[in-house]
Amino acid sequence: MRLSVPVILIALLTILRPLAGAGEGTAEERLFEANRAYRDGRFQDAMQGYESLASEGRAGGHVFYNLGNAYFRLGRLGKAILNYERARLLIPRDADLDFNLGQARARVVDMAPESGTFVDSAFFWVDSLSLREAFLGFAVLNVIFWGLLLIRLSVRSEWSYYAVLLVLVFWLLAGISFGLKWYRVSWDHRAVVLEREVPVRAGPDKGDTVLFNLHEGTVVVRERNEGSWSLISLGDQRRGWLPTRSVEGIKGGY
Amino acid sequence: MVVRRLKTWFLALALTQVLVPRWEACGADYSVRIVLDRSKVSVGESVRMIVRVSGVRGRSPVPVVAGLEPFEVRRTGTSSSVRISNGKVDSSVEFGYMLEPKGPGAFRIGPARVTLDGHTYRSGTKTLEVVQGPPDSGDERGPLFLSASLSSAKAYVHGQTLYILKLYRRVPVSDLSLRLPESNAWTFKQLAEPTEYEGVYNGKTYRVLEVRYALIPSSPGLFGVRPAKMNLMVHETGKRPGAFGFFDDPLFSSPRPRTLSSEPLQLQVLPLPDQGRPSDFSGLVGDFRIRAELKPRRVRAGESATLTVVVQGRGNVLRIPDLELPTREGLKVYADRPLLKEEKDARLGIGGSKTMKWALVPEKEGRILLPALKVGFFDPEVGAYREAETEPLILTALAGKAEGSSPGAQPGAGTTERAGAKQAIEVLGRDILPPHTAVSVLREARPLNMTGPFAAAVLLAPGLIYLVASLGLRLRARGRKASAAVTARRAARKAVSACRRRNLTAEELSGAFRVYVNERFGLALGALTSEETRTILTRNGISAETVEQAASLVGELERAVFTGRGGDVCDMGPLVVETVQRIERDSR
Repeated sequence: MRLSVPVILIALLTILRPLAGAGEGTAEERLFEANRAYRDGRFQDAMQGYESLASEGRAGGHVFYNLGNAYFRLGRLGKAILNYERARLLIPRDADLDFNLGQARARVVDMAPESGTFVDSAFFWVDSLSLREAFLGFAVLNVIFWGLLLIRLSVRSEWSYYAVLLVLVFWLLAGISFGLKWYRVSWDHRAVVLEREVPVRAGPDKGDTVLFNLHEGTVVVRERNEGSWSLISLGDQRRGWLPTRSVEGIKGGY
Repeated sequence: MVVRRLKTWFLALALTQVLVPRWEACGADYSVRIVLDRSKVSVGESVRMIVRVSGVRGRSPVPVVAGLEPFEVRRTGTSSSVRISNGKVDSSVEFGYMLEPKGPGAFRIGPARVTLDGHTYRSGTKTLEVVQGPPDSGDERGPLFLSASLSSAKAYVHGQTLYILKLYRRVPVSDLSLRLPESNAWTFKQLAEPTEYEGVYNGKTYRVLEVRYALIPSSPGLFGVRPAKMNLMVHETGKRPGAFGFFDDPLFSSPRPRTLSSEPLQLQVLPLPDQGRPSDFSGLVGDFRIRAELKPRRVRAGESATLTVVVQGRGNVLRIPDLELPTREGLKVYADRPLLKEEKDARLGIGGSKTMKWALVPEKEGRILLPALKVGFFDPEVGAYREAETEPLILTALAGKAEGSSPGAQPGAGTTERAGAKQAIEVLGRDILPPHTAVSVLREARPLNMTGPFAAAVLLAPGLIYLVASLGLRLRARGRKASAAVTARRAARKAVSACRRRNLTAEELSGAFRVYVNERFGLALGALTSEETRTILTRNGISAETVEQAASLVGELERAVFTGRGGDVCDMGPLVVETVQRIERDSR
């Protein structure tokens, strides 16, 4: 009996389609299970479920948000803030996230030093945009700008001249904003203290002088690693060494 | 002549001998002298002494003065002087001293000895009578005296009593310095800056400078408090016959150092009794109160409340102990660093407060009793130990999740509040918002990969498209221009070739030029007038001279044609060639 090619293809699709669907269904089921565990107060199970989704790269901002919630319920303030910060990079204007992050920060023992540069003040809107939004905004203006220039190759009218000038201003602002956001996301060296209290020393050795103590949830800037030690700094000129395992980088989450 | 010159020399020599001081004599005429500014003085006052060494210039050895043992001696400085009088030089060096007698009596001062050039020179002696000054205490104490007193002659160990010093004066003084009667048995703590006011002592008005100290005994016993000493400069005024008291100003008076002593005092320091001493007594002596505050009193499980305890009062606040909060099951306690604040009051002495804070985090729902906190101290007023105690407090822990509002909180359900009245929203608890459970969270945008081809294409494509289009348009324009040039060259070649033939008629030459113009400028004219020629060439950027030449040429050929000479052989061929060449040249 000879089987035609269409018959074989239909048979293969019939076999493979449920398998493909099973993968998607598994993620949804795990999300559903994690949500149910959270609702039932089984925060450890919920955390593991959200973690598995995040580790598979299936995490949008809200998965990190949910993960932060689970850690918060488990009393792991450092991990909670870490995942809230990761979520904030993806959904920076989410009101629930802002609220929960504020609640978590209120429980941090260390007072966060004030930081902010002139660029931060001048481009104040950059923090409320995700990288994707900044990219899309710039991409649209990019098309409009070059499109207008293209039109001006054949139509050298006055309106096209002023339109190009106007769009040029927005194109520059969008370009700088996008560049700034990309730089901040790509070179984000912030890390969160995970241990209840960790001494920060003058050097990468247990025998070095303790300069000050940091507490769980404090956000630091990790400058470099040496062996199992990390050099960190705060916004107020304070810097020192602590064990690398005591902190986890925000950017490492995706 | 020679005799006259010698006379002049002798006269000059004689004048020099008379007028010029004899310096060599100065060194040999040494003398030493003691000068006192008064011969009688009271105890506590001082006398100025000058030892003058005459006959020396510049530096002199310091004289050794005998008979100064009964005095406190202070050097006031050295000065030198040179005077020329009647050709004689008097030079001297003066050494100044202030002598303050230690007690009454008649004392002989001197001689002062100075060794110069290997010889010792001596002064004479002076006698100074020292009498007893005004009494340190009592009714009559003179225009300047120092008085000391204790707020209480009895004090307990670690307690405090006020040591009050008052400087009474009716003369101007300056440069005050004070030596307190320090001892190992107590310490002084200044309570405030000195104050100055008008006061009356024994019916006389004085300016009074008062400074207060807390005297804190450290060991029991009966102690004599030695007099405090005050060094100052007295500006003696009123001794000059100045009008209107102008010279009473310290600027014009001669300051004289003086040392004042206060009266000696007695202090009885009592030991702290053993009877009734609390087991955890920290040595706190004084009068203290304690208060506690819990904020908020109701929290959700897992959230924190703050317990603040303040111990406050008068006494040795440094000994307020760090209180410990007893552990309670289901309650996590995080102690903050205590804050100690010391206050000094000129009237009440040393006091202050110690503030201790704890963060309390209930782990589960329920009511947690916070027991009373006590601090024991010795009250010197009562002479016994006392305890200050807080009220017991109750921390109510609510369930972790938000609860629905109680029926009593329904609007209008038995409320007696005025309709429309608003009240601030009370925060009953703090918690995070729930997770997002929709499956759509899995389809949310992933983080953007900026190094991928999509992002690069989106960012670069519009610009590239523009560049390509711009380049294409430029190339097309350039091609058109090149094509026109080729056509023009071909037309010119053709016209020149045609017009160089011999025996051409005016009609043929006119036709050849018209064909050239048509081909050169893309026209299709059946006839060409001189006006049309001018217009066409001017429009195409040909120079005015060439335009006129071409228009004139066309006009000549027209006339030849229209006057019936069109068929005759014409000699304007070279002119047509030249005109075409000029047009081509101008077109480049």
